[in-house]
Amino acid sequence: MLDGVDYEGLAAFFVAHHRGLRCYLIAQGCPDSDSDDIVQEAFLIVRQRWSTIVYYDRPKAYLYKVAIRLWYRYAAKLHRSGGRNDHEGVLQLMADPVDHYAHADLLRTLAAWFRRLPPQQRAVAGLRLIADLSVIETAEVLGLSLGTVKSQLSDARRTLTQCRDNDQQADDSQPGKEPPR
Amino acid sequence: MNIDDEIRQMAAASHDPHRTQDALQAFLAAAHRLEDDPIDRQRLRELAEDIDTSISTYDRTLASLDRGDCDPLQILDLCVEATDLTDPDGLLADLLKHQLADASPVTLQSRVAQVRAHRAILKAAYRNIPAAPLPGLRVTSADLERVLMVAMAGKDPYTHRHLVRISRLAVLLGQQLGMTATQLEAARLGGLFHDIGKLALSDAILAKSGPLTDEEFRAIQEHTERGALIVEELPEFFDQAPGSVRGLLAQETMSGIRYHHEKYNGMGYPGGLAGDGIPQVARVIAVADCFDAMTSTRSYRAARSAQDALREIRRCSGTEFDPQMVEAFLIAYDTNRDQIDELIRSENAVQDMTPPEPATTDHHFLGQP
Repeated sequence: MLDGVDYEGLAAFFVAHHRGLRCYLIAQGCPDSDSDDIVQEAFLIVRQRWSTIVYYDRPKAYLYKVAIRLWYRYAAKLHRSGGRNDHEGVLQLMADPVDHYAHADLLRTLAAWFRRLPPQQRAVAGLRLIADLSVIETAEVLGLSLGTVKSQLSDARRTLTQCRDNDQQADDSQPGKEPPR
Repeated sequence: MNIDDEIRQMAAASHDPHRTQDALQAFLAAAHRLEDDPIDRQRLRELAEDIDTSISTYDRTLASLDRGDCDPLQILDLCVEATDLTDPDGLLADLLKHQLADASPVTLQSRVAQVRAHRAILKAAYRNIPAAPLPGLRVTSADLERVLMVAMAGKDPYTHRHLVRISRLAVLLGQQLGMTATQLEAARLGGLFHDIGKLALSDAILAKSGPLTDEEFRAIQEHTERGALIVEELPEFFDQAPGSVRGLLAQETMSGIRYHHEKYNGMGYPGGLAGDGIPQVARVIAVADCFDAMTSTRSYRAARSAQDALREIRRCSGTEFDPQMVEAFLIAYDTNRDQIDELIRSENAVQDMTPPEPATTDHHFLGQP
């Protein structure tokens, strides 16, 4: 324990939530190359508050609250430096995820599907389906009502299902593929 | 495979576990560096404070708007600036989409109060319902009762205590009337939540001590409908009732909340229902509600004695109250006198110990419909 921080607990928390948070940010439009920096900064702030939140709050929800705000700031900075006035701009500026592993394709597909969602649906669906937060936690993190979370999620599901079906159809109609029986 | 499972599976499979280990090493190294680098430590401390401020700004802004102590558009501008929000679909969406510039102050306050009510319920749920209940365990109706009560206690402690007492008085009256178990449970829940709609009532109106404008009074009247909507949004409430009576319990509870300000002579609200057209649970709550309001001390008047309150209720029999309910309540009072007097004493003891509260609007004494 250094500087009053329980590093063992913090490391376990990092390992448990690093993947989900990074994937969430990329689905929100954060460039893959910058996601690691935002994730690290978010965990460093959680470390700053660790002794308090570990007992009195839900550390995972707090982590996402922090990361979302860091992401908003990043997106705003990008806008001020000549990007467009919304997260779509960031999405369009986003370089294709560069990953030397096979995992990149899935992440790219996920990001492409989420790009089709309006910002609020994207945030709600990301927290519920990628970060696996409960409806209550999602509403609390985003400052929305329970009813709004439920309705936004339902709309997002419809669009995401459509994306999946379109991809499926495109795959099936590729030359050399057998039509479904 | 449904889309939820497919997304979860894709998210899980899209990540290289080695990347997490590398990131962990980088994070731990950065964390240890902070311990030796005062400049970076200061930068991070300021960033953390900034983030915490932006997290709480929204709630503070809503509270200020709710109390009516600031210019709404000015404070919204400040809020947007402080939180670095550039996306109108973000945190302030609930407010912004309602065209604040054109709204009257009361409309705006009502809208803010509704948003705050949602957030109060949410915060209470966030603190009182486990993040991940054990598999097979579901959120219980007792959890939800506690959540709404915690939310109400935060908004207005007097109303919170009033709800608890009405719930008990309604059950005593229901027992005297020979209600069935389902009806008694509806009376208990209806009593407990009959004023829960006040959660969505602006503090500026709820605490106003002067006379109310027509618009403000209409906003107060809406608490009956809003209360029913709040409970309706939580269908889990009735999940644990046996299937055969679940629908009836939900319907009777909701009727009690929605119609407890109806009067026997048809001069009440929201529907102007009369006589037996008023649901029974609502007629029960109306009598209990009036008795408790009269026997409680408020900042603008002393409590009346139980005997005085009973005389007043008897006087209003057949006009404001169902005569059958009045007779049953008089008997229930005699039968359970010690218990009811203790309820009154406990409230007045709390009032004696607490500083003067804002004059929460009490329509029984305003001569309003």
